[in-house]
Parts: sequence; structure tokens; C-alpha cells
Amino acid sequence: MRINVRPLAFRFLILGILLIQIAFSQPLSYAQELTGLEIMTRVDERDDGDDQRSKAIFQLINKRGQKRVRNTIRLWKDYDGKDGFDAKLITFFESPPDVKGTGFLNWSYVDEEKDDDQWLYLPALRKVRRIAASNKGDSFMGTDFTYDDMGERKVKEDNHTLLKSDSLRDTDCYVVESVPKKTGYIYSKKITWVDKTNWIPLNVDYNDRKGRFLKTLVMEWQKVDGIWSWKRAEMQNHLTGHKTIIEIQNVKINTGISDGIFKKRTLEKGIR
Amino acid sequence: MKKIFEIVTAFPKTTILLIVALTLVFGSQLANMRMETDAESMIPQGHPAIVYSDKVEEIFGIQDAIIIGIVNEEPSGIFTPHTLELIKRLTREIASLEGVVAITDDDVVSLATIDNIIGTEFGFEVSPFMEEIPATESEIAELKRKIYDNGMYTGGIISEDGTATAIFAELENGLKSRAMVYNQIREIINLELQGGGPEKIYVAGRPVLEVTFGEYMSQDMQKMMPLVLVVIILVLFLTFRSLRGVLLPLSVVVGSVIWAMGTMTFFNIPLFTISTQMPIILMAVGTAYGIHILNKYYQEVLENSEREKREVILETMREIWKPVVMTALTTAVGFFSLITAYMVPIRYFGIFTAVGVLAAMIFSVALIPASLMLIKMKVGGWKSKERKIGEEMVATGWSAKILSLGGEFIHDRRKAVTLATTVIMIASLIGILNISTNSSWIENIKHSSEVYVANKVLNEKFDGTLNLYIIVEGEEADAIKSPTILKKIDGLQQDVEQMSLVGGSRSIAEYMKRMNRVMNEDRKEFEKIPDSRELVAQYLLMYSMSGDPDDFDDVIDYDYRQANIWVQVKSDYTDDIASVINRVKTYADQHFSGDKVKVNLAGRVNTSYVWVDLLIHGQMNSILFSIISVFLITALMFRSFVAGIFNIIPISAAMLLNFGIMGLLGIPLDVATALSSGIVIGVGIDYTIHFLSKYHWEVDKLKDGRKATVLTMMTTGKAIFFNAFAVIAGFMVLFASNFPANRHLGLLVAFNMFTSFFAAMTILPALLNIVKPKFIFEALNRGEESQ
Repeated sequence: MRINVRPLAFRFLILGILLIQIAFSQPLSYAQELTGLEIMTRVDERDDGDDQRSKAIFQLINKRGQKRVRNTIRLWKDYDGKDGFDAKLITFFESPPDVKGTGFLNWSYVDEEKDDDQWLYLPALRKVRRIAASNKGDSFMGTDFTYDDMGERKVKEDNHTLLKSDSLRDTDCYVVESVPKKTGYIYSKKITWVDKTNWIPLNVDYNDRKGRFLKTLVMEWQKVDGIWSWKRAEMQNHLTGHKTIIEIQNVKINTGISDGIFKKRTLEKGIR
Repeated sequence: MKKIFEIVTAFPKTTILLIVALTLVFGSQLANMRMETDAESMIPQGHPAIVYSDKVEEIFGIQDAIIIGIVNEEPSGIFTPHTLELIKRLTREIASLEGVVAITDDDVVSLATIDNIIGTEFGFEVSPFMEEIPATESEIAELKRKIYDNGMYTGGIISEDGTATAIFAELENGLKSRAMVYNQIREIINLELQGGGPEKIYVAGRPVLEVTFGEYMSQDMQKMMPLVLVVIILVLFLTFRSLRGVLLPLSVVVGSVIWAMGTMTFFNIPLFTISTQMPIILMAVGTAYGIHILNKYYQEVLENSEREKREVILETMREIWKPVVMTALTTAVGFFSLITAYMVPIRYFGIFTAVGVLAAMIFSVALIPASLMLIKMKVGGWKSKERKIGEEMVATGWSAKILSLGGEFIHDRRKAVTLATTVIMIASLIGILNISTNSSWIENIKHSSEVYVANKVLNEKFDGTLNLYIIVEGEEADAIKSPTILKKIDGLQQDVEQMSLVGGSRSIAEYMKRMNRVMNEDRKEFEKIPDSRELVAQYLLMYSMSGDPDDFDDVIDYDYRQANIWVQVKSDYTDDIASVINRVKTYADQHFSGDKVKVNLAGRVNTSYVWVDLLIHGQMNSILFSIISVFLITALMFRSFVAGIFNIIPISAAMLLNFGIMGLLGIPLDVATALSSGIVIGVGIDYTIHFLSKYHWEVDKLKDGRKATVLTMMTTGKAIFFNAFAVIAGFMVLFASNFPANRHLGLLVAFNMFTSFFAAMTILPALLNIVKPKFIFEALNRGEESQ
């Protein structure tokens, strides 16, 4: 989840608007004036903390209903463009037992042309190995999510149109259509349901390059230390029948994770 | 029965009207006729091997792929910017087609999309071989080096000599969609070829075979129906040289075809390939009934033309109805026995051909006498020259002379004839012991067809266009992560690859070896299965993290319990497949026995092998079934067990001879031969029944075996000869087929018709005159006693 922390003044402005909203208890009175771009920018700029530590449970389910379950510990830190970094992520596998201790380190960059750097540590081999430079459209850790789905795609890469307002799971939402500016992207269209009050995406529908309905993402959110953080994301691929569920537990936000954690040495040592 | 003929001859117009009306009702159904050309329909459902194979294909997400081979025979091979561009363009265009299973271009496998697993000093990388088309010579040389260094794609995507490369695209199910994709691909290729490059492009693969089969089937149907009609008219004209001689039997044939196909359509059953043979068979049997009735009618006319027309017709029918009905029933039962077949189209073919045969019988016993009532009584064509009305029956024409001399010879040398036959039968039995089965789908397609040529070229250039799957199945999840099992899988691959039939193989073991090498600074000595189970698990995880969620799906199942070894085979002859299967089984028995794993086979190659086997052995059952049925029916109608035995002797002799010759000449049993035997029994039995009936009749009348033999030969013998001639000519139509198997079938049936005709004319009278069975000579014996 990428965020750009804006100047303080801007944050206050948003807060101010929110307060006015609450005060008049007519939160949507200005809805029609917002454009798709503005909505998606707000989603993108929503505060999701500077760092995060959590357990993540990956469930990969194929179309026959068979499951691969992997428990991981994940640490994430937002770099917000510092030294060109967008964010850093380190993940350790806890189970299944035969892969326990396998570590994965990912550095992503602000420059959208620059591919992520990735390293993998295999305990059975006792070696850290750099792995393939991933494209943004590639599968994230072998799941149905792509790196872009995980939040790496920039708002300015798409044209956004507000389609309508709609109610989803008892929540008032904006429905925004996003179409890539450049041709040849893996998706031809993305439709996002955005919670009008909290600026969090609840559902996303993806159409593939041929225009076929490809995937649906359903997200559940929780508020941790005043920050909205997703606790469950389910991505269903309609064409392959494959599904990935990621559940986040024990979330700790803004604990001040040091930069030293996101290094290759940590992969070998592990974390406590 | 007699009553029926009295009614029919009393109200000929009503009879004809009724039959025509019924035919129109059936005919009106034909507008809704469907054609089913999907080869899949031939595959029997529910057999364990097929159920298993379907399950395997589902688990490993296997779909039939179309294979596009690009060949550049220039010294550079395919490693030129022009050819590489072409590969990339074709890959992209094919991926965008409706009906191609491709979520992204990468789902179409080609040099433009495959990934290389490379080890570098500091890491590991899965990346495309060809992100950009290499332009300079050194870049091309580098690409070439990388591909051959990797080795996993040699023989599969790229030929060993570098002159050919392949594009694989999985297609969605359904013949219509596949035909569309194939045609679109052909168009794309034609456009590319107009550019005039040095490349040749070939399209093969199972979907193309299926589509071509479908196209050829429709062509066959359109071509053969009119041809059959022409042949019938020709044969009938040669037999009778009169308008009525042509028109009456012809109406029987056309009517019975309409009835049979009408009922078929009424039950919403489509035309299958094999159904094309239905009109040919109905023609053969339908004309036969007409020939026998008219033949007898002419004899009656010639014997005594003073009688009234109705009396002559009734007399004709009185003698002839029994053999006609009997032959119709036995033929119908013969075809009905196909209901025991595994293949659904063959079952329907059997049932509705039986319906058609019965329809032909109804036409013959009702329409022909009714029509004869309405036309002038006369003897047409050469029949009138042969013998003047009222004259004694003497052999005048050359054919009658031969038949009469033959009759005398067989009667006088009956023991010699029997002995000769016995010797031939013993020789045949020896031959049968050597009989083998062997059949191929691909060889069953016209050798000049695009797909046959493409398949041949691709088999020469690559490892093989056919996939056999070896499934190694553990008892519980993660069984395949065991290094022991992986090493054995590797060993099995190496063992089976030693066969010249096997071009190559691919499995999870290969990926593990490659990754182990890459993760160990790309050192050759690490190109082996890692010794630790954890490392295997971590490699699997690592690969899955750098690829798509379903990257290994076609070689290992989701819970790592089953592995799939893809074996590329160059031939689909059942014998060849059997040898590969045996090799695999032997290896599995020797090496996997203590490991709590099962080794099974799957895939189209295996199921075709299984079902051809089923088909051939299933046919052996229906041969027995039809022979027994024929025995029972004839025994019942002649009211004698001995008669039943006599009836099955010629047909059994013909069958024995057929299989004996095949065994001696080393011709294997295949799908065509298996089908031919059903047809041969159904139709061939007629000759014996006609002969026996006439002989019985003549013995009763003449009280002399010799005279009866000669007379039967001259009358019914001649009719049988023309009958056999019609059938043989009819089946010769199959020579126009696009399928070698159909041509083969035509030849076989023709040969068998001749032998069953010959047996009915030789060994049958010879034995009859030796044994003098009671069921025929009863009257004669009684006569002698009374003297």
C-alpha cells in the first residue's frame, strides 16, 4: 500500500473537510463535484501509516478447491521517495514447515520505469539469492495479485471517470472507472468501489486486455491506531478459477521499524 | 404371410399409396438432420481409463494445443531477425484470437514468450529469452547460446538443428470454435507467406486433426451418397437391363434409406462418420431383395406365361418370401448386435441400419408385388433371349453354363471340395494365431492432407507431436517433494527417452535440476536433484514466487501429491504406444515398488490406445453374438438345429479365411477390420440362406441332390452372384473416401463378400450333398421309404 505523505497543511485541509462533513451530517452534498481523478487521488493519499508489522496468512485456492496455506510475518516501511525508494517489504515464511525461514525482501522505487529489486533466502541452501526483476503486472509472490494490485500503480497512469454512486455492503460508495493511458497494459479497465467516508476501496473489478471480466477484489478493513488498514483481501480470477485470500493479523502501525531491517543480512539472520 | 400377398396384390394402388405416404412422413424428418463430425463423439464415456485420463487432464489443466511449426532451412536456421519477428508477430496474433486459451500473450508458448531460468553470480532469474528481437549478429548468437544452454526447450520449442521452432496455443473445447481458430490461423499464415520470406509454416496438433477429420467427413458424405446412387443404378441395369429391374429395387433402397434416416432424425440422433456407410449397406441388401424377387418372378413368367398376372406374382412370393424375410431378419440382427459396441456412434449405426434393413424388407415384400400388379407382365432385357417363354430350363448363357458346370463339379467332387476347404481352414487357423492388432489415428487421415504433412514434418524436426502422460501418484500431500521419488522420476525419463519412438520428456524433476544448478552459481555438477526435501520445497516456493500461481500446474498437482511426466511420442500406432507403456511399467515395477507411489498412464495417446483395443475386442464379441444369433434364427425358421449349423458354416469359413489371411500376411487388425466383420456377417449370411432355401425347394420338387444343386446354382446362384456383385460394387464406393481406413474397409468387405459368396456356392452344396441333412432331404427320404 503506497502512500505519499503530503504537507501537513494539506492533511489539515482534508481533516477540515471531513469535520465539516460530519458537522453538517450531509457527507455527500458535494459528491457530484468530485471527479474520478480526485477520488482516486484521495484514496491514494489516505494515511496508511509509515510502517507496519503484521502476520499475513496467504491462502491460494485453485479451481478444484485445493488450498495452499502459507503463514508469514511481514514488515513494511514507507520511504515516500527517500533515496528514490517507494517502500520496502520483508517477509518470512513461518509455515508450512518445509519452507520455514524462507525470507523475501522487496524494494520498490518511485520511478515507475524502475523495476523492484528482490532477494530470496533459502534456509536449506543457506544462501541469499537475488531473484528476477518483476514487472508491475507480474504476479505478487505467486498469488492472484500483481504488484500493481498491491498498490504500486500510480494514479496518474490511468484516466479516471466517476461512473455513479452506489451502495455496497451497506456503505455509500463512489464507483470509479480507471482506464490505462498507455495501451498494452494487463488490464483494459478497472472499476473501483470507494467508501465515500473513509476513502478506502471496497471492491475492484478488473477487465483483461481482451476486455474480458478477469478478476474481482474484495477488501475488508479495520481501524488500527486511527489508521485504516485492510485485514482481508480476496482476489478471485474468473478466467482461471484461481483465488487468493490474504488475511492480516496482529497489525502494528508506526512502531518505527529501522531501515536496518530491510537488508539482505536480515534475511539470513531472521527476525525476532 | 400368404394373406398379406393376397391383400397386397388385390389392392396394389392402396398399398403403394400407403407406403409412399409413410415414406413422405419419414422424409419430412430429414430436414432436421444433424451431422456430428466431432471425433470426440467416438470416444466412449465411462470407461475407467478414459475417466482417469479426463481427471488427470483436469488436475494438470491440460488442454489440446494447436502447434504451429516455422521452418527456415537456410544456413542461419530460424535465427534471423526476419524469422524471429515472424515468431513474435504470430504469437501475438494467435493469442488475440477468440477460442485460444490465452489470458496474456505469455499463455501462447513460443520462443517469444518462454522464460529462461538463469543463474548469475549473485542470483537467480526467470526472464524471457527474447524481450526484444535481437538485431545484431552477436545478439542473435547470444540468444542461440542461451536457448541451447538451457536445453529444456530443445526438441520441444526449438529443433535440435535450429531450423525449426514451434508455437503452442491451447484451444478451448468445441469443434466449431476450434475450426474457426484453425481457419483464422490459416488466414494469418497465408498473409504472412505472401510477404515471401524463406520460412515455411506448418500447422498440426490434435485440434487440427479433429477439424480436418470433420471437414473430410462432411466431404465424404456429400461425395459418397450420389456415387452410391450411380453405382446401384449401374449394377441393377447390368443385372436386369430393364427399366423395372432398375426402378423397383432402386425404390426399395431409396425408401429404406429414407425410413432409416428419418427414424434416426426423429430420435434426434445425428449422422456420424460411420453413418455414411448406412446407405451403402442398405443399397447392398435392398437391391439383393429386389434382385431375388425379380429373378424368381422372371423364372415364373418364363415357366408358364399362360397364367394370370396375380397368380404368377403370388407364386413368386410364395417361394421367395421366406428367404427374403429370413435374410432380412438375420442381417438386421447382425447389425443390431453392434449395440454391444463401446462406441456410441457404432451402436446407433447398428440400430438404425437394422431399422433400414427391416424397411427394405417391407418395401420388397409389399411394394414390389404391388408394383408388379400394375405393370405388364413381361421378361425384360437379355432374360428374354436366354430362354423363350415356356421352354425347359437349360444352360445357354455363358454364366449359366459356368454355374451349371460348377454345380455338377461340386456335387460330383463334393468330398474333394470339402477336403480342400478343410485344408484352407486349418491354414487359416494357423494364420489366426499370428494375428496382431495395430491401429493409428493419424495414419487414418489422407496422406496428402495439410495436417498429415505438417505432422510428419514436425515429428521429424521435434521430439514428437503426441503427448503421453505418466502420472506418479503418492499417497499423501507433498509426496513428490521427496528427493528419492524425484530421482526416480528423472531415471524413468532417461530410461524411456532411450526409445527411438520417444523424442523427449518433461517433468518437475527437470525444473528441480535446472534450479539446483542455477542456485549453485550455474555449476554443471549441480544439475541434479537436490538431496534435501526442504530444499526441494523451497525451490518450489521460490519458483512459484517468481512466476504465476499456475506455472507448474501441468507437471505437479496443487498439493504436491501427483507428478505428471510429459512424454513426447512420434507415433500413435497402438503397437508403438504399447511398447512405450510396457517400458514404463517395467521401470515402475523395478524402481517404484517400495515407495508407496502408483504409476499410471493417461492422455489422448493412452485413451486412443485403450479404446482401439476395446473396439477390436468388442468387435470380437459382436462377431460371436451375430454368429450365434444367425444360428438361432435360421434354426428356428428351418425348424432344425442342423439347418442352423449349415447356415453358419459358409460365413464362418469366410471369417476364418479373412482373419487367417490377415494373420499370414501380417496385416494387423484395426478399426476398419473390426467393423467389417459385423457387416460381412450381416450381409454375407444372405447368400447361404438363399441358397439353402432354393436348394430345399428344388430337392422337394426334383427329389435329386445333383439336379437340385445344378438348378439352384443356375437360378439362385446367379441371383446371389449379382447380389454379391452389387454389394462389392457398393463397398468399392468407399474407395472415394478421404480416410484410408474407409478405403481399407471397402476392400475388406468386398473381399469378404466374395469369399462368403464363394463359400455359399462351394462348401455349402458340397457338404449338403455329403451329409444330406434331414431338414432338406426329409421329403426325399419319405419318398424313398414309400417306394
